[in-house]
Order: sequence, then structure tokens, then C-alpha cells
Amino acid sequence: MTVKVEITVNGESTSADVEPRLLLAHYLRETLGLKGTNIGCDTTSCGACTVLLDGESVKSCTVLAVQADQQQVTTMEGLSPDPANLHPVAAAFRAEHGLQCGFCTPGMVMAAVSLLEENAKPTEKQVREGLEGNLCRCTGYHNIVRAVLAASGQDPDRAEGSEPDVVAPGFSTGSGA
Amino acid sequence: VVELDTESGKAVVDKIFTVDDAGTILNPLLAEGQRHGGIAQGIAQALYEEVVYDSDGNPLTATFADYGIPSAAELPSYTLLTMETPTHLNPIGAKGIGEAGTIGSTPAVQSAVCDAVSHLGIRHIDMPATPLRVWTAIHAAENGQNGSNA
Repeated sequence: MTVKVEITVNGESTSADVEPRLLLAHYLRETLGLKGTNIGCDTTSCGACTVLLDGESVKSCTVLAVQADQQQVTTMEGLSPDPANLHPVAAAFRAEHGLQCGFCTPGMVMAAVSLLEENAKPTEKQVREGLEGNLCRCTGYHNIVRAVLAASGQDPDRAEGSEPDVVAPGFSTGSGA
Repeated sequence: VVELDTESGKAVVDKIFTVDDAGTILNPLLAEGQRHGGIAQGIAQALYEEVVYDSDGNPLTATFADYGIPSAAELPSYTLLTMETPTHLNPIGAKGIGEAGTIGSTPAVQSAVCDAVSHLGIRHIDMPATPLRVWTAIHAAENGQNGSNA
């Protein structure tokens, strides 16, 4: 048995006959070929598959495609008009080096966009708690938190609750230095 | 710097200061990123992460819901100090930096946890220093079994 779904993805209407059990993550990746949404754990723990459903962040491996019927979905691909004109959050991740391997990045960025929608000027603690559902193994979160603070228009070194980054100057014991 | 709740046994890393000497640094931004990731992994090893099996050998930590991989909310921001001592073993003077922070942060955090309860006579807690292990060690110490382990 298949069900017809009509989902607006990144502003474009899409439609397909899908199995009722099909996950939104698989609809985006397999049916539409939008591979920017990563699937990490498949158990709603890691957040790599986070997308916006009617503007709110959801983990798309826990949403059925049929649940998104007649709704708006935004993925990483739809966030920035083009590579030269990045969404402010994506640009901040780039500027602050808020990624290393990049696997968690689409989910992190989408979760951050949703977080800033709810709280335009979060403290460091609020950013950390807001991104609790998104796991990253590479960055230790330091630069991700800085990127989100920067995207909110704050100086990451001065945002409430933040420690200034790298307070001491570098020093050297090298013979020639 | 670790804050420890003696009622629950829960330890939280409040601040961490690290010094790393990777020789000549070619890209400071990437080098710092590597250190950040390593520090996080080292803290996690000291406090959270452990692969657990039951007595029949079934894995009990098979998903991220069961395995204690830390999120942003469990970790602080890090303070980095940098040394640059070029090595003579290669022309550019660079050493390794890959996740280097792991090496120092695990013993630092573990020692901070033990230090926080050392006044009770506790000298050792197994890694990871989970709330249960810390709580058990505190109660054993209070019952006069100093130095005993969870």
C-alpha cells in the first residue's frame, strides 16, 4: 500500500506515492535525492538528520513522510541561496571553524537556526542546552557554540557566560624563536 | 576545575586549561579545533564513556542513548595556551596535533574528581567517574572504608 504525500521542500512542492512507514529522512535523501540531510544513528540520538518542519527543528529520522504531508520542510540545501551567499548561521559556522569532519554540521546548523528563531540572543549556556540533542565527535562543541553566538550578532568572546577565547598569548621556547 | 555534588556524586567540568606544543603551527584555527575535540573526548573518557556488557556478554551500550557520549550541555568552553617549539626532525618543524588534547584532559579531570573528595580519604575512583561510582566511594569512605572503590 502506498500513500500520496505532498510536501513543500525548500519552497518547491514535491509529491510522491510512498510507503506509510517511509521516514522523512529517507523521503528527502532517497525520493528527492537531497543528500545534505545526514542520517547518523537512526535512533533519534545524534541529530545529524535535523530539518525544519514548518519552521521548527525536528529529527527527520523520527518523522514519517506522511506526517509531513501538506507541510513545509527546510533542509540544509534550502537554507542558503547559493554558496556565495550563505545563510548567516552557515556563514558563522564557516567563519568560526564550527566543524571538522562535517557530518553533524547540517543538523547542527538547522538546530541552531531553530534555536535562534526561539531565542535571538542566547547566552552560552542557552546555546549549549539548545544544541543538546545534536552530537558532535570532532569539535568538542567549542567552535560550534562560538558560531551560534556569532550568528546571533554577539561577540563570542564577550557573550554572557562566555570565557574569552585563548586569553594568554602564545609563547615559545624554540631556540630560533 | 571540576565541581562535584557530594549528595548525588555528579561531577561537572567547570573550566579546563590546556597547554600544547605542536611545534611550528601551520594553521592556528585548525590546530585549535583539533585540540578542542581531543579535550572533549578526554573529559568524556574520564566522566562518561564506557562500553558495558551484561554477564552474558550482551552489549548494554549499543546506542547513543545508552553510551555516554557528551553533548554541548555537558562541556565547558576551553582555554588554550600555545607553545611552539619547532622540531629538528623535519624541515618545517611541525609535530602532531591530531586530537592531542585527549592525552592530558583525561588524567586532569580524573585527578580533579579525586581531589574534590580527597578530604574524605578517597584516593582512587575507577574511570569513568560516574555519579554512582563517586557516590559509592563517598559513602564507603564515610562508613570508614577509606580508599575503597566502586
